[in-house]
Amino acid sequence: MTFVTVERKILEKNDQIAASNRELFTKKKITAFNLLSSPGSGKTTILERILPKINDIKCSVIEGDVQTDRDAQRINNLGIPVVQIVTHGGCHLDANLVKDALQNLDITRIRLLFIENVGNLVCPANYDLGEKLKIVIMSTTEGDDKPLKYTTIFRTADVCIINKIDLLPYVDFNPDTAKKNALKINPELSFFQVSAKTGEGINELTDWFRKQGHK
Amino acid sequence: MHEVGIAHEIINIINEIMQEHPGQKVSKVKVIIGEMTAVVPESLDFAYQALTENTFLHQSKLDIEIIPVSAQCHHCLKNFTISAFEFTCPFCHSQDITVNNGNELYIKELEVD
Repeated sequence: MTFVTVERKILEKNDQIAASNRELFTKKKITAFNLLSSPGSGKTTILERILPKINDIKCSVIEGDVQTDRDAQRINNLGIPVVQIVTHGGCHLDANLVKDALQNLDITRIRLLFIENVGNLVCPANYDLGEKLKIVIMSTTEGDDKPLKYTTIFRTADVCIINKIDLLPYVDFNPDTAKKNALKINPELSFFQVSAKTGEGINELTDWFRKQGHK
Repeated sequence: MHEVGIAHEIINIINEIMQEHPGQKVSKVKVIIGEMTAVVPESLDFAYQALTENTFLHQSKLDIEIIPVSAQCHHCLKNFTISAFEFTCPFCHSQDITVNNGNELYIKELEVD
């Protein structure tokens, strides 16, 4: 019996491709966002609200879903370039899927790239896509203790969007408790409170996205 | 369920390494997993066994070591283990900390015969 030393990262291949995606984004002056949330928190609806307001900036979207291209159709209806990745059961996007999706976008015409991950707060945490910023979205119909349950995502996120604030009178979700819980995990997290339904808070969020583009 | 994808990557790396050790058999694969990665050891083990069935790795076993999340406080400079994912120094309650361990996800070594 002998030992063979390995000392290799299991996701090294993903990390290498993510690094090359990141290099490409920097070279082409693209700011990429990785949007993470549980299913049904309103990722696509938020994009539908924001994208028409920043159509003077060249935006593109990569949609990740387990099945169907329904989300991509919604973005396509806005006239925004979009590529759908169907993972066929896969619970997260990886850097290689994003790299392949980029083949179907005109990357010389992108300033802001929104990558909507598969709705899941666990698995996507381990997979760097090459994004500049991770944005986690939670909605008021979920528990305000969500950050304590899905720590890795909240620990690595840069921004947290709380959606569906129009429902606050009807649900037990307390935004202050949610923020307090999230800040316990990640004291540097910044927050936006929006309702993609009524449009409340959307202007502030849109302005923030606008400022993230390369100068 | 990302454990299946992780098991796949483990097998790819072993295949690559064993090309340099022809004729030898892998009996144990030492894997290091940090608690922050949210990889469930039982699921990973199950996926690995399922994926290696009827391959040259079918007799190999995963030996998984879990690394707790630990950090150092910038304020009082003490080291501590983070329990219940409270990212606060238990000594001085500062949140200005650096997480040093808990994000590991790598193959340490193979035991071969």
